Amino acid sequence: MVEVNKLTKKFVRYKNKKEKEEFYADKEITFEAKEGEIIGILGPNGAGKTTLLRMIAGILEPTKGSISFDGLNYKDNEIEIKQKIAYLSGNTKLYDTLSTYELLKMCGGIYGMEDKNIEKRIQEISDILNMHKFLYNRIGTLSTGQTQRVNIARCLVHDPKYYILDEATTGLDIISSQIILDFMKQEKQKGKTILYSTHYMEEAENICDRVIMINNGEVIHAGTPKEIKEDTQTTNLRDAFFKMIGGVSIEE
Amino acid sequence: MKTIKGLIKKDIFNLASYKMSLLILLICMCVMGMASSSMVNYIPIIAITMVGMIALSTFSYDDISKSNTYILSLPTNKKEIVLSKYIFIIAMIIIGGILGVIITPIVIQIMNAIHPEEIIAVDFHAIFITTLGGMFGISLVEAIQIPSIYKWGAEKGRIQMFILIFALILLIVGIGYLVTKIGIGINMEMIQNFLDKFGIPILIISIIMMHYISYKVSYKIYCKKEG
Repeated sequence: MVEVNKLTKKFVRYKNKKEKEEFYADKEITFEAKEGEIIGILGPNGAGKTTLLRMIAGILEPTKGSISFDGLNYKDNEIEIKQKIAYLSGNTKLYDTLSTYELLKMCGGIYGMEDKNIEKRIQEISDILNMHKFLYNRIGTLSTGQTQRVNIARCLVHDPKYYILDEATTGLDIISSQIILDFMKQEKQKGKTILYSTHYMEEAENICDRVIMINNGEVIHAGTPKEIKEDTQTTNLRDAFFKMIGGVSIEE
Repeated sequence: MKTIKGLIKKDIFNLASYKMSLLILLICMCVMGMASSSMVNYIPIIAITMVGMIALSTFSYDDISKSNTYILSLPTNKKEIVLSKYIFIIAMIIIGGILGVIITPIVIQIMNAIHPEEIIAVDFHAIFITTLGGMFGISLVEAIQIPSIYKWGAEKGRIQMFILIFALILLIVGIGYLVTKIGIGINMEMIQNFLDKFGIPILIISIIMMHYISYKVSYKIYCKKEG
């Protein structure tokens, strides 16, 4: 289980060359994710989704608050936790000059896997994601859909328990994003926990067990998509979100 | 240690695409070395510079693939990430040095075969000193450049490095100019004697110290970086 307790991140930004100001990217965010759950972190651009997931993935250090995976915290068990998680961001590109095989071998090595186990795992993943055709091709020569599969493969190599997917479907065409969504469903069936951020409300509504809506770094609502729609008396999450933030004007 | 090995492997895999370019550069280097008997002495320096600079390009690969965030999510820490880069770059400088030491006598033998009337003697001591000098030079450049890259990124870091090196050259030239202008007498024989006695250990210690200080600075910069 993942437990996020009052997670806060404060940044400093410069208004101009001399003046700086502090602002909260995330403020006291609390939630938990159980085994086999897909938790959607929803909100517009700049809401604090990426910062939140980066803190959970151990990439950013929180200003305040705590995160624990199966009762383990980052302060004392950073490496152990990172062995259990896989982080995939829509921003992350792959090394174009490497082949899929080399990339997976490299990832397995970093996760401390033995060479023979990496080889076995690469073959297994190639079967799952149907990658045999392009396993030894340079990543730079692959299609978007194939690259997406390589991205997923990179997450699978150490058989993680938790997936942290940051806007993994943003900017992808319908087929490529479906590959990610199918992958999430399959992993959920295996009892894996998935934390998934997106600003595509419809997509989240279809796939998430529970949803945490954030805006300006604060949780504005949390619950199952059904609960949120009932609470806001709306028919979809998009309308629910707008209702909670009090609508949106063109001036904004 | 396994993580460090994995990170180094990543850089090796990335550089593997340079195989052909490296081979061509190596041939060019040999041809250049054959241009004259004085040029042949510079082969170790060319080899070290070439390999050292290619090693630095792995930073660009990381930048282009925006892999920094991903690397931080792996079961490693910032210390190991920075350390792996330094191990890789130092190893590459050593490889460049070994390459220079191996190639130089071969090129000399080829030159001697082509021009039997102008036999060049293979002076291993001179080759060794030149190699160490080359290693010192590239270590100085990289000791400055790596923290710059960690601070400003691969592209901006390169520009900052040129500025820093230019400033360094200007400083040395300036000091030299001042020394001659003021008229301070330099006993070249004394300097030569000192270098003959302590030159090699000084160079080796300097190389180690430069990399150590550079690593410490880079690590400090990297720790301050958010995500």
